[in-house]
Amino acid sequence: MENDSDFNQYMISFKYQFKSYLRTKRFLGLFIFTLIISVGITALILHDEYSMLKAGTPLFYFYNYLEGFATDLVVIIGAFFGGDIISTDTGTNAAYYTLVQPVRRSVLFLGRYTAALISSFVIVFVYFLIGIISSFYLYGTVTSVIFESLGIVVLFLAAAISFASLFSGIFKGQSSGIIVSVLLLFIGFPIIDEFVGAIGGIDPLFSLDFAGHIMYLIFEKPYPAAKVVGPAGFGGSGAAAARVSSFVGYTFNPTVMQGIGVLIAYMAICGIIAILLYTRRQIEG
Amino acid sequence: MEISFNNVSKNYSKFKALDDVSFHYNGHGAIGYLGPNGAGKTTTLKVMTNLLHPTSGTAELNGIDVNKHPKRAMLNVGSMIETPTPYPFLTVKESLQFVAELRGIDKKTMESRIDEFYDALKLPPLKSRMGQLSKGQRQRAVFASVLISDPDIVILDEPTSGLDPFERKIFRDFILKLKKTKLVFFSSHILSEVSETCDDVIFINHGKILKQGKIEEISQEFNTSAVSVEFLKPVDDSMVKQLDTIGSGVLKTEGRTAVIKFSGKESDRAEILQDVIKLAPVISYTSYGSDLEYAYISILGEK
Repeated sequence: MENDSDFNQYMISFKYQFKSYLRTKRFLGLFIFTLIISVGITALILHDEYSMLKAGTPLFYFYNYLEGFATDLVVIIGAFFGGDIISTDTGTNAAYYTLVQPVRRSVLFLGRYTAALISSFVIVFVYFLIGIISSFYLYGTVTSVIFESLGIVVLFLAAAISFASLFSGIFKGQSSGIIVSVLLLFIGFPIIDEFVGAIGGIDPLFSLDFAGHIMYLIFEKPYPAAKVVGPAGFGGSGAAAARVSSFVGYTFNPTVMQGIGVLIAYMAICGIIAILLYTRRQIEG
Repeated sequence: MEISFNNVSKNYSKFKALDDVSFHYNGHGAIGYLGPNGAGKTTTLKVMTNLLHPTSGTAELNGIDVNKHPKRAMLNVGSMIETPTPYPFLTVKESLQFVAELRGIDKKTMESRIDEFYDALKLPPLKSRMGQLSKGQRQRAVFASVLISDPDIVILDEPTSGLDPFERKIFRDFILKLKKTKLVFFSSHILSEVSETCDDVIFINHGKILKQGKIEEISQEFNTSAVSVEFLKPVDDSMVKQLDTIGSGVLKTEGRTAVIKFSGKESDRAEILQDVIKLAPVISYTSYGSDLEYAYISILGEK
C-alpha cells in the first residue's frame, strides 16, 4: 500500500486531530476566554492611558498591550493543548483504536503536536487581532514588528506544547498533565524567575516564560538592556521605605537570540523526551 | 496469514501474567481463546498487537516480529482489544476514514466498504459523533474499522461482551463469514459462540496454556456421552429400572427428565431414542451439556 508513508500518516494524524480539537469545548472555551480577556485589557488600557497611548506609536502600544498578559496566555493555551497529547491515548481507551494501527507512534505524536500548535495559535491570534484593531483605531496603522512577534509566538507555543506534552507522557490521566503544566508554566516559572532573577541576581535563562518575553520586548526601541541593577522598587516613604529601598533589585531581559535559543531548546528537548515516553509506553489498562 | 507466539512471558514485577505461552496458527479459520477473568487472555492479545512488550519470547504476525516492527506487522492485521474509544468528537464516518486513510486505502474502496458495513453491521448514522454512541453502536463502528482494510488477520478481545443478542448475532455471523478467508483469533467467555464459530481452541489460565487443539478433538476427548430425555410424565422408580437397561444406564433423573449415558456413537444415540419412546411419550431429546463446556470446566476447573 503506497499511501501509508510516514508523511501521509503524519498529515492524516494532523487532519483528524485538528478536526477533533476544533469541536472540543476546550477550543471554544479558550477562544471565548481569550476574546473576553483581550477586549477587557484593551478597554482598560484605552480608558486609563488613552492620551499617553495616543501620543505614542504602534510599537509603544503593542509593548504595553502584550507585556500585560500575553506570556500568561501563551503558556496557559500551550499547556491546555499539549498537556494531553499522549495521555489522550493512555488515559482513555483511545489507545485501543489508534495504537493498533500500522503507524509509528512518533508520527501520530507529530500530527497531534502540529494540530495542537495550529489550534492554540488560532486562539492566541485573537489576542493579537484585537491589538491590531486597536492600533488601527489609535494610529490608523500597525507596525510590521507584529509579524516578528507572531513568529516568536509560534515558537513560544511550540515550546510550551512540548513542555506540556512531556507531562502528558509522564502522567496517565488526561487532566493531570494539563494541570501540572499550567501550574508550572503559569505559577511555577514566574515565581522562580522572580527569586532567581530579581532577588538573586542570576539571569533566569533556564526559564521558558522568561525566554518568551522576547515576543513583546522586540517592540521596545531601543531593545532593553540584558541586565538592569537598581534599588528594589517597593515604593512608599519614610524610614521603613528607605530601609527597604536599600535592597538592590535586578531586572533581566533575554536578548532575542537567547530567547529564541531557549525556546528552541525547550521545544526540541521536551519534544524528543515526550516522543520517547510515548513510543515506550505500554497500555496496561 | 500466520500468528506465532514463541515462548512469550510477561511479568509485572513478581506476577507472571503470561508464562511461556506458545502457539502457532497458519491459514484461514477461527481460533477461540478461552479462560476465566484474569487468565491472561487480554494480555496475550495486547502483546500480539504491540500494546504490551513481552518480558521474553516473540510474537509474530505474518512472520514479522510485532514488537520490533509494529508498523509492518500490523499492516494486514485488524484488531479490537478491550473497548476501544475512538476520538469522541469525530463522527462515525470520520473515525472509519481515519483508519482507512492510515492504512492507505483509496477513497473509492473506502466509500464502498463503509456503505457495505453500514448495512451489514447495522452501523449507527454515519454523521453521529462517536462520543454519543451506545456501547453496542460504538463496538459495531469499531468492528467496521477493523475490517475496513480487509486485513488477513483479525484479532478480537471478547467482541460480544456486554452486547445484546441482536448485536451478538451480527458479530457471530461476521466471524463465520470472515473465517472462510481470514485468520480470526478471538477471546471469549461465551462457549456456545466459540463452539459455533471456531475451528481451534486454546485454554489459558494463570498465564499458562493448558490445552490447545481442534474443537472436535477436544470435544471428543471431553465428550459427556449422555443424552437428556424429557418425558411427558414424571420419571418414577419403575421407569428408572427400565431406563437403566438402555444405553449405558441412567446417570441421573430429575422430575420428568432422565439423563442416560451411552458410548458416544451416533448409532447408539439413535437407538436410545427408539427405546425411550417405547417407555413413555417424549417431549424433548438433547445432548446432555455442551462438550466444550464440559471441557472448559474439566480443564480450567482442575487447575
